[in-house]
Amino acid sequence: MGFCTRSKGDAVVTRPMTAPTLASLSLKEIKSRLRRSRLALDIPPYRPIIGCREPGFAEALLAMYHDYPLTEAQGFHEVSLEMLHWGSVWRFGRRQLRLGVNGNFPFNPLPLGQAYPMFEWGLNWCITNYLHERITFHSAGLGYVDAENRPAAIMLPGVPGAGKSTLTAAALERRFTLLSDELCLLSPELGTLLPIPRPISLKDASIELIGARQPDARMTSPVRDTTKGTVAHLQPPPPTAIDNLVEPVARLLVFPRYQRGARLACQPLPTGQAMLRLADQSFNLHLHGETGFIALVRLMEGVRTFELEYSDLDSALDCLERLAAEAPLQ
Amino acid sequence: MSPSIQPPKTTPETPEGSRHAHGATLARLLTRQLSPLAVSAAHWAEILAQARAQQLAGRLAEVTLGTPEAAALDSRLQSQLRSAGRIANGHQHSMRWELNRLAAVFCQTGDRPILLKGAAYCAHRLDVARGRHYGDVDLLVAEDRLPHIETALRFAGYAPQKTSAYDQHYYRTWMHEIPPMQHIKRGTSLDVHFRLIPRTSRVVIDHRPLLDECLPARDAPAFDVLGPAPMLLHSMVHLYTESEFPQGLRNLFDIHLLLIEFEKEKDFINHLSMVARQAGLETVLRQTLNWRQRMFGALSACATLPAHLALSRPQRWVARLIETGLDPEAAQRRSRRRQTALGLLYLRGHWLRMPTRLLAGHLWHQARSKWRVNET
Repeated sequence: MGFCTRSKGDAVVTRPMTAPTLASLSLKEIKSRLRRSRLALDIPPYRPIIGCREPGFAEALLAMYHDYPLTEAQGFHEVSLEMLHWGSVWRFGRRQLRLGVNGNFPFNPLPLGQAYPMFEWGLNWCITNYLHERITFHSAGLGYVDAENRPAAIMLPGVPGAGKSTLTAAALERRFTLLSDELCLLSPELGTLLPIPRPISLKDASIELIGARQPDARMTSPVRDTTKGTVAHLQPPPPTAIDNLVEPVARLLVFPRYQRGARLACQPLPTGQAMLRLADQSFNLHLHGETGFIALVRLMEGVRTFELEYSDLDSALDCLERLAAEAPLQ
Repeated sequence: MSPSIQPPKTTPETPEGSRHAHGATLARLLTRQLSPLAVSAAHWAEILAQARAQQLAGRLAEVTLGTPEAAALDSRLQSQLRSAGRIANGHQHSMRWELNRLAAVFCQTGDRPILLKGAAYCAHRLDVARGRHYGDVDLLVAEDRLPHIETALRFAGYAPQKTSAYDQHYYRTWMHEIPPMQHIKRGTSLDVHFRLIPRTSRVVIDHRPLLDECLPARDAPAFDVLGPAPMLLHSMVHLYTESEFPQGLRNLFDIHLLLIEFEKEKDFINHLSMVARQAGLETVLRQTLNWRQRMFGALSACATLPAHLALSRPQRWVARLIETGLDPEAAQRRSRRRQTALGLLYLRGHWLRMPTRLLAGHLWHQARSKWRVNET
């Protein structure tokens, strides 16, 4: 089993101004590095080393992380993720995929063919488990420039199925930028959110919906029968655009809820209630103690809070745009 | 018995310094025998993964970030270490809160339980608690008080986890604790012990000398902790009779840190041997001290260890198995050698814990219930 190898000298990874991107490698080279578990990418906030022999994985990775910079496999990397084939005589030769996280196997194996979603889920799992310098929220995040020309963000927390990802994917057609469709990382000291644009995970009917709206967008081929239903990933906007972005401060906190056939309803939410609901969507608030609580209070002081029930994407986006254009809280 | 208890080859200074020189880097980092800068960035990624798997990441963070060289480490590595430290702090915090809640329960029943293992280290503010991760809360109560205490705990929200008649019988008749309980809201698990080791264990101990030295916990006045020597011996007997080692290295490291802290008291090692003899734990003491020496190098107390603590030939063989089984790097590589060692240790652990006939019956029952689950 491949694991990162040791380097002899001191290997400090510095990213050159124009780092070569994944697209600068040939598909053959990508496959070869993946086979040896030596493909190292800079996917903020982490630099994973990736390994996989599953056919189709290299193509999906290239489509999704086309413009992401490569890093040195010898340097420090927070995670190594390997999607490994696994089978034994007891399973009558039925082979499955196992996710190796830094050489350990914390999960049950999945069927072959789910390598790509497995990689994305694995990376999310690592961030929520290993990154505690920030407060992590299970929430989508959109960036925009507010009425006073400052970088601002909308947080869209919600349980799975609330329509976070679909709304996020569609919002990129408007004036919003992608912070994340899954995780908001709040700095307890600065109160800012770290943009971690990554492929957007679309499920079931959303795949066709977004595919029809954005015919030019690159998407991985849908993977059926996963634990989350049918899943496809949508390519994020190129990361270079985000590099120069100042970390935004959240100005809007909107709890979306998709309800089939519902009329658009955008209700202001009492701050206290919204704070409790947001705290409920945090993975590691309890690790930050008093600092975390104060950071959350500060966040709440700066946002206007709403509950957004919708079925029609365009009217929901209109609503978000209108909220973003209004004067922020002082 | 050989006269020398300290084979020179385990001292870290000697170049042929055994496997430690290139083997268990994690152990050398934890004991500050190795500077964090001497480990390459890529190797650090591996070390951190090992530490996480062994529940040692918090301590590794504490030790590493405390060194003056820490600022020169890769900033991403520093960030990962700080995150690991935060997790350990969180564990510490929830352990204190759990003890606070339990104190309220025992205030009602009028009992004064003895905290064991991690809970004791935390409540007694020992050095080993710094950066340690916690799992269950373990406490020891008088067996005849069990019915009252169980009722009080249930009222306080702790629900028994294993309720089948077989499990109840297994725990109460053969083991040293009642079936584990879990708090319905907080999800924390609680192990209520009525003995220090299973009734059926081949290691027969006398509880009296171990309970003699109990003292109030420094930070949790409602509880007692075992005295230094009994606390160390309890930790040792558990590692000794273990059959699986998911956190074996951590448990051995606990012993290492406890020993370093306690030996500051004058004559501690002699006192420890005496208590061990009285309790019938001499072999356990001898073995675990030697294991510790192999894994964490000959620091501190080893020089003063009495000569009678040397290992016999078969014991040396077990020590080698342990060394292979607990090696964090072998764990990462999943080497066949290690798998064999773990297999043998598994058999050894079960053999130590139960008489053969009982064990056969138990394994048969386990297999059968697994079979039933598969069928349904």
